Amino acid sequence: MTNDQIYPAELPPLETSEFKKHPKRFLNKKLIAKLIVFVPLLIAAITFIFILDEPWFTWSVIPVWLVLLVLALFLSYKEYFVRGYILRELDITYRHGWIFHHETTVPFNRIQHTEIKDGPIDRLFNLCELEIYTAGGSSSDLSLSGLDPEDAKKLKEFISHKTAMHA
Amino acid sequence: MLDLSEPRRQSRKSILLYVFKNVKALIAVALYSAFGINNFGDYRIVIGLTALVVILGLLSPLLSYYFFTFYVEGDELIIQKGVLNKERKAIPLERIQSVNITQNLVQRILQLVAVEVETAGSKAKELEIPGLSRDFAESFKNLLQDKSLQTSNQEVVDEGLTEENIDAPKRERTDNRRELLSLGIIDLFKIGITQNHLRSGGLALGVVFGFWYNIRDFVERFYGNVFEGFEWENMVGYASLSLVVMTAIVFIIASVIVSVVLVFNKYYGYTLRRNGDYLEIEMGLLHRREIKIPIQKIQILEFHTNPLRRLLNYQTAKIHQAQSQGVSLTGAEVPACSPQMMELLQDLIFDHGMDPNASQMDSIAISHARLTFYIVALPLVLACAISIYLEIYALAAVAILVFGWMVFVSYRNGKRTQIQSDEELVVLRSGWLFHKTMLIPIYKIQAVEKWRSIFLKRRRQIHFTVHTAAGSRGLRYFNEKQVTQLKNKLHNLVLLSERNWM
Repeated sequence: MTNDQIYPAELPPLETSEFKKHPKRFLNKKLIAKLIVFVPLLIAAITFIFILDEPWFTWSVIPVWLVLLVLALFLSYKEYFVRGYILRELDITYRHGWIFHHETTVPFNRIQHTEIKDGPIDRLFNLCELEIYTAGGSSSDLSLSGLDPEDAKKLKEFISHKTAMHA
Repeated sequence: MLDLSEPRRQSRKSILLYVFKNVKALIAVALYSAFGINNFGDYRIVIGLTALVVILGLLSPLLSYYFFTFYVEGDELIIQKGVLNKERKAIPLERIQSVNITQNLVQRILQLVAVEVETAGSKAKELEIPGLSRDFAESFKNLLQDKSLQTSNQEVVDEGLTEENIDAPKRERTDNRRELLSLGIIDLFKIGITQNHLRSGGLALGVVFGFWYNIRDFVERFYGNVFEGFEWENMVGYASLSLVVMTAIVFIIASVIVSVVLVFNKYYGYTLRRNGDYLEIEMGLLHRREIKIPIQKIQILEFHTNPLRRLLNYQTAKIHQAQSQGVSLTGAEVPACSPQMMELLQDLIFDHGMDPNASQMDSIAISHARLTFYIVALPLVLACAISIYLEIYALAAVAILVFGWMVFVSYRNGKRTQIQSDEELVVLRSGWLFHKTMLIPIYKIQAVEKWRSIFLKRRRQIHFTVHTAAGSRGLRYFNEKQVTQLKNKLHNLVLLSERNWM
């Protein structure tokens, strides 16, 4: 049996670890999901062109739509390369967001429960989302979207096992 | 000792409570019926309405009373209610955070009280038993509290529980009872005077506007002669400056009066006691509240103050327990804390004084000012453009003054923003005019987060947030390296702590 004293300062810092990225197809999924969101907007715009029949509207609405679309796609693209997680023996760290960048660390002894979710587009790309709930409310819950289902299952099991040890 | 293994009902007088509740609904029905009978004169409507009145006024209170039962079964408190929609709530005793007693005006007349059971995941109103007699509520509360403590102790102590341990919480309750603070009329008056008057002023304005037309009729009827040839609409043209001054004075007086009245109603008869492992607060004039908070379950302690209060040398403390998101803050307040009282509270709740060599981290003040600068720049430009267009240059001057003031205030706020931490506590301080101090015990932290917008990446600055079961608290604009260090330190302390944060 070992029961060495541990000092917080001696624990390894997070910065030496490497972030694990999501699979490449997650990027495709995000881009396609964004496109799907923008299609109804285009239809609405075209309908309004016919209803209003004003020249300034006709000439401005499609470029505006295009600019918004390109912007949204660009943000999703950039965001993909930021997203990642570090799984360590006692905690999990997740970072996301390009314009607003967040990096949250949750120790396993504070996790309440975990959940795997997938939507229709997720299933199309063979992806799923792992939600990790803490008692800190929605602002500290981690949602690791775009995981491989196999990985997600393993992760969930690993985390549940670790959480059970602390309960 | 109270026996709750059998289903219990409320006090019989609670039937009257339900009757009172229905009276409100009945007033609407009565108005409608008066209106309806005039128009239709149909006897069927009259009969229908009479039946409704009878059911609402007499039958439903009886049924509500009859079907509302509560009892303790094993480790659970069970509340059953509902005539058509039957509801059965089971609350594990160990999950009970606090048991509060409240009393509104109607209950006061009937000499009844309501018992509110608070758990981390529910709204307080959900688990309310209205209409209990005072004595019964008191012993019921103590019973629940003892049981909940017992069950949680049982978990900690494992199976080796002796008779002594079972009695321990009870004995503590009678022995260790200490009054910490009670507020007299003068204290209440002080609090009222130093309240945030802007909010009360807004409330006063709302009331005035709401009743404006009534007031005008009233004024014109009684003082018609005085105001002859004196149109309200022309007043602005008459004397704009004196009118502005008068309005301002009236506004200030009204706000102060509203503040004082609100404070008296809320905090009348305020006492704060320590009772064993609990903090007990009693307050209220029309709506009496008795709040009981287990000290162990307090997650955040906050102190707020404003310039007026600083003159009188006291601050307001807010005590936050774990709660689910979206629930309005049920946390308790200590409205007037002297510096000694603040220290006492901190000592009582965390049992820890801040280490004098605690590490300290200062915010980058200029970044606070820069953000405000960007935010107010656009309105400023607009205001200037309008003033030049209208050729009212005073407007531009005022806008520039306001702009400068806002940037200055945020710079000062940034100067005072800092995080202190030792092995036990993390203290967040902010605010220049409105000081705010947040104390969070490290072992109760759920997650630590650092975040930034892309504009801060180049500047190597970052924001810091800690998440606790009572909500998230954070401060902005720190040196990235320092924040990373702090985050690692706090996180590792959380990892090492074996204490139960619940």
